[in-house]
Amino acid sequence: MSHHTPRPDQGSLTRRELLTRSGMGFGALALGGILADQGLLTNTAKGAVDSISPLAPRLPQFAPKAKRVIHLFMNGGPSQVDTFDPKPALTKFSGKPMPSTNLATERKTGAALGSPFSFKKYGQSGIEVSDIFPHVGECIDDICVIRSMQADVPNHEPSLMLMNCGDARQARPSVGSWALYGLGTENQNLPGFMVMCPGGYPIAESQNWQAGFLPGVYQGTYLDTQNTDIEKLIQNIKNNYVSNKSQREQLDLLLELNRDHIERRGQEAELEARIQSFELAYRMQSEAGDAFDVSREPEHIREMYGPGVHARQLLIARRLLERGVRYIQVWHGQGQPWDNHVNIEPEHRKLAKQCDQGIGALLKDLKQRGMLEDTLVIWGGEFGRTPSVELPMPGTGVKAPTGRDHNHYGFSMWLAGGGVKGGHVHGATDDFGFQAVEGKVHVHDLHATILHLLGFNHETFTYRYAGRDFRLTDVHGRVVSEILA
Amino acid sequence: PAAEFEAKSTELAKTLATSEPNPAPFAALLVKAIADAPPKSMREVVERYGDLLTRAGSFKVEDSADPALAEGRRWIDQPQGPIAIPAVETTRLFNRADRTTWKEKQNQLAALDVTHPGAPGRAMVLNDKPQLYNPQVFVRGNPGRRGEAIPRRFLKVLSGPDRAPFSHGGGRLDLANAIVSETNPLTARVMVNRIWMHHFGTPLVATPSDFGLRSEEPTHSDLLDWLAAQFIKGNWSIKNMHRLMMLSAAYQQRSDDRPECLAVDPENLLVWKQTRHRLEFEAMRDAFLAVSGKLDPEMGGRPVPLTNEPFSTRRTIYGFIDRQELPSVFRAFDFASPDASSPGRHVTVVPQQALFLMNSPFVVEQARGLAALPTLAADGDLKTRVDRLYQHLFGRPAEPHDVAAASRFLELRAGETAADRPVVWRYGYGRLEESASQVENFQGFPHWTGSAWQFSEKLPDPVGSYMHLLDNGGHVGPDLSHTVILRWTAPRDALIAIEGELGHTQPKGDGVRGRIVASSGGVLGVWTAHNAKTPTPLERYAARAGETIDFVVDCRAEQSFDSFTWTPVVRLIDPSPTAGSTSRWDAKGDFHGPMPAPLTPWESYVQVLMLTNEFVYVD
Repeated sequence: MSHHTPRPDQGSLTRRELLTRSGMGFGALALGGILADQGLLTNTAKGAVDSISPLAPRLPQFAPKAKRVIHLFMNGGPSQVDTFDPKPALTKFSGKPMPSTNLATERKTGAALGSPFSFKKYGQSGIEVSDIFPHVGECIDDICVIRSMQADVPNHEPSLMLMNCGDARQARPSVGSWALYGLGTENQNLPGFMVMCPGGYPIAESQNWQAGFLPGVYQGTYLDTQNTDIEKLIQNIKNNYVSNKSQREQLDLLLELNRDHIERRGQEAELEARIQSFELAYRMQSEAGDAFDVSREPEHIREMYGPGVHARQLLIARRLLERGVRYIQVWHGQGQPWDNHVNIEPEHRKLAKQCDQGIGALLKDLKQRGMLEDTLVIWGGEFGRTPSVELPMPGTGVKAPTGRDHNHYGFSMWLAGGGVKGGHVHGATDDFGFQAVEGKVHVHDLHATILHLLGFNHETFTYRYAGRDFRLTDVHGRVVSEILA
Repeated sequence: PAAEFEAKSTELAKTLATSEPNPAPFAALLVKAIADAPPKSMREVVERYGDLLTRAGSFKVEDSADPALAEGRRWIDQPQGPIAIPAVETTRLFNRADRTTWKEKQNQLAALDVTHPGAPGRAMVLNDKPQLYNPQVFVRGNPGRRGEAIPRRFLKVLSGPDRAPFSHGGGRLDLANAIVSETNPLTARVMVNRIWMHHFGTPLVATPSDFGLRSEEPTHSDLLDWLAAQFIKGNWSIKNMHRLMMLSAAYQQRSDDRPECLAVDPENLLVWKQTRHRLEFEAMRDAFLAVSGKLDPEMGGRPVPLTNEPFSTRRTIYGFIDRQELPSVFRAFDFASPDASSPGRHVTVVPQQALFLMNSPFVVEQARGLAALPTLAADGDLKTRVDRLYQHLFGRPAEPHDVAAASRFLELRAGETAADRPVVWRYGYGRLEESASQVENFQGFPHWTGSAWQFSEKLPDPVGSYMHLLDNGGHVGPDLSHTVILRWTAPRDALIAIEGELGHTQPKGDGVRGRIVASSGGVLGVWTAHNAKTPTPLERYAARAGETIDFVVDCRAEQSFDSFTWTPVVRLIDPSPTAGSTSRWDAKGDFHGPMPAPLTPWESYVQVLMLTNEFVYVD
């Protein structure tokens, strides 16, 4: 019940700004009223007004560089030495033991496994990218590659929890939930935090986008993007019992009855908010349908993203970002597709092919619309993979070693847009790509940086729960100022 | 090591051969098996023993009088014999298939225990470990960073100066006693504060799970103390506490504003009015069921899933909570997270709540139920019926303007025609002769299986044979007067394009033929597919509102092996779609069973009343 507003010094939104930002006329006016009330009531212990309009757009603590985030989650853990961290020494030693001992990971690993892919320099910056990501490579001058990521353990579940919620063990709010709590969302006609994963859930399922102790409305809304039917994507988005016209008549009557009710009781923000929620829902029905309908895109845009479910979900994501959705997480697929303990060569090639064109298109598309500068794009898995080959485990039937084990000591992620340097490489792993040695960036540091870009100081952006002011970064985290544009 | 086996075994055989003969005849036989010829490998040892055991095992007294084998047989048969396996160990010897089967059966047994209506109720029980130990501090909650071991004992701040470690077993009883001890200042206060919060909407201590240094002072500390004392005096009876609070003058205030009070105490700290509160999810769902006459008031029993059709009519408190996968409607209505301790529910207003109320089959079902209640639906003029409805839902008579609003709404809705609610896709069969350019006698399939449209419940059917339609295709009918048809109806004048692929996967037979036939434009395209996929594009066609485009599939000459796939997509080229209108109709994505019956004007009126603030807020 008690909660504490994270924006002590927020500026005020003008009514006009609010109208433009949410593009919804009448409903926005009412929200504007509520926001004004909020100013008066910030200090009440209940935070009741905050709850009435929990998703209304809010300003962060300081001017943000990024207004929205899209996190492309390569679940399973893509291999850094096969994607964004070329290691000639590894190729040289391929098939032989590395001079340094292999670090302990989930399973036993053996000799060095040189990357089966070749690397090429792209763009003005000449950053090398593996040949499985040519389209992403073309955008490298807008990308900041972090080659020195670190997590805590070489196991999927805790690493997913750490990457998504900042804590490997306990139920904590996800990054998207924090963002929604802090900023609200700019389009009240769509969920503010959406999670797409084609075909089913990733490992650890909905915990990856949980709201934890934050109100349930900040939880991510999951969409199985294998479906194209809007009814299967968003629950109760369509009415199968009355025509659109009759539903409008229903809502007009509802409005009339509710107006009468509220007039007799005196204005009360919560009653007013509930009246508006029906209007929002009504608009959501049509707006959601439009947002998910990629056939409304011109041919050349659809061709740019390419064929397949990844292209479609990335294009949907762009349409959602454009409509003011605050935070989107796009997963590669059900389970942990990038977890290539065996057959890394054909598997990584296949997986990259599925998403490379779409990701490249997304970056170019955001840029040509002028959105890249305030949209933070994040690419990466929950960890990376070992440069050494994974030894087949007895009894698994796997004969030849052809894959890589999990690796949390050092891995690559990249950021683009939203206030980060383009064409920049931060940090480095050792000669073989096993562990980060320069400019280490722990997942907590990444979180601190994301919050910074969104306009929050990760040390003072808190939520009081169980008597303690919780942070996304707990007691850790450092803003990686070296990568800020 | 295998290399040294032979040398060692020769040595051993020699020792055995020269040693005292074993007095037991069967044991002697076993020794002899080794001593006579030294085995070359462990495998040979096993084989020789196996051979002897087999002989002994198949020994029958009537066949032979060999005393050694007779003794061997007795030895094998005894409960502790060499091949007797204790029941608990048998599963370890299963091969993979048996183990899988065994696990399946075990799971079925466990499921039966959990779900069978006759299975006894179970409670979770905690037992102390035989070896008690003191827990270690995990620094920052990290089990990898062990701090010091701490004796099991109560909280320092509540224990006074002579805190002693717990002494009864693991300490659970001591802990329980310490929690409810009369000298514990917190328990009773925390409890009455929570009960107060539920009755009055606002707790006396604003942070119900935090009575520490960081929480605000109670708004009425004397009241809190008094209630806590009453609670203990009343033998910790929660029911007594409810009674005490609900009988108070404070509780019985209305929630209307009074100007003189508002002037003095705008925040209602003195509880001069009741807080208006919205029904929580559970109460709201129960209220819907109650007003539709369907609420099952039975107490106790197993949890039931609430979000699956047919909808349970049990009270919401008996809903099954899947902690891993909480149905999103719970979350939309502020249900507490099952993963974290929750001091109280948030009260939010979000459009997802409205979507559920406007569109969900559950709410519609309750609206229909309510509309059909005999006590309400019975004859009488509109005023009488609206009045009864208002009494039933709001406990007050309808006022003249309420009746007027109802009348206006019902008149508007009465003017609605079927065209206001177009059905785009239909599934059926009809007649399309070779030379004809029109489908004749289109009939919708009468039977829906849950995933397929069919000619009848039977498949094959004596008349319709294997004819059916699925989301991705189906099977053709037996002849040209029973051709399977997927029918699209233009909701408005539109220039359209069609994409798709007719597929057939059998080398046998002669494949299938697909035709696109417009009701005014005639046959727009013909394709055949035999063990192959054929694209079926149609670049543009100007369809008039209400015109049908039929996707007709027949068997060609031979009528066997004629399953097909065809998932056409109709795309709007012109006019450009307006916001909210559909621009793409995907046969697969849109595939549906029977459309639910539309709400009647009276039913949709009733639904609106159920959605009002008056219904979901308690004054």
